[in-house]
Amino acid sequence: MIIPYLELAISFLRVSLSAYGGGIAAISLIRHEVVVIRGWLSVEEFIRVVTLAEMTPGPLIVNTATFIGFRLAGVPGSLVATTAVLSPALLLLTALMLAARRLESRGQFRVRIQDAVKPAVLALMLMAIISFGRNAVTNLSTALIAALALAVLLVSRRKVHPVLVVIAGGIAGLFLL
Amino acid sequence: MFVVFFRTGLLTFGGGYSILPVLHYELVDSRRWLSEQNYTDIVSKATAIPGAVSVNTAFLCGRVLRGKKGSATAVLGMAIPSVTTMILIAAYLFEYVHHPGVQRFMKGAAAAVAAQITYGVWLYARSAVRSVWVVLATAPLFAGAFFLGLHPLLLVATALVVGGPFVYRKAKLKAATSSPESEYSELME
Repeated sequence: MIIPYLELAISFLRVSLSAYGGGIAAISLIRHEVVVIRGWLSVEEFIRVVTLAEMTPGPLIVNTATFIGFRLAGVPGSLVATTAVLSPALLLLTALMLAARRLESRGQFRVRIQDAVKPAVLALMLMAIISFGRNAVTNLSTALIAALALAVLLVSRRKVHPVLVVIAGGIAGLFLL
Repeated sequence: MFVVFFRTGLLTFGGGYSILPVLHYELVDSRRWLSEQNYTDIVSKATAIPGAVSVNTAFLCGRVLRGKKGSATAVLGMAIPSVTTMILIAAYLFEYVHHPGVQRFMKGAAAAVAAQITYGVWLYARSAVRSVWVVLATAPLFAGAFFLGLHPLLLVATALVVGGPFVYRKAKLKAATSSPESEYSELME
């Protein structure tokens, strides 16, 4: 009875520790874990799960973990998978914050890890635009929606809630696509 | 605070980077709980660590705002809506996913999410790129990721090893030359 939970936990812990750069990057890792190693889902099922995770609110990685956990072991399974996929990063962040505080209190200077990693973060973000954009912007209509949405976000000078723009994009999709 | 993060978790599609501009809107633009600089620092750390960018960001924002309880509140607020909707869908609504109307709506929304992600990166870049050096350092890292498919961990490690000494020295210099007053305010940040 315990074994499926344990396997779920181990799989998603592994995903969490190597998942980088947000949901899209994590997807290939989860596929490797769930389809190739464990054989819990077929490739087609997995693609359906990812589509679903993309269209439901919230972080992609949380959605995928919840769904797969639920499919395999019900509500407890979904909680196990989600906790496993989230906790390592949060523990790591806590540890880093404590370490930074310790170093700071010792010297007069501030340890600014966040400044050193900026270029890598920017590179990761640009990669995310490319990989997400390539899947989402596939023809003239989607390009039009994306361009309009970006224009609204940039011109509105932070007065329009970004979520409204996405909903508007969806409604435009109903009529255009 | 729980409401803000719950709402963000509930209303954001596409995950990860698409959540960044929404949280920026909620925390920096609309409520002014965090400064632009605060938020940029948080995003840098959240992205450099493995795991879900959005949850990492929520965790750090909560931590900065209200300590340990704040981070727990933010993470739960962010995760609860997606876990609940996902369970509901997995249990009852999986059949409707391939309905053509739903598909069209999602494709349009996905295109807008691509714009949202681009906008989030623009917000970050505008605040993070303070000197030519950042651009010069980003270019080879991006080329490595794009053409060679280097692992993100490798990019972050390279940035830390190569960039670390520069940032360290700059911070030290700043502390040495700045007046006691500004040093104090820096510590209070």
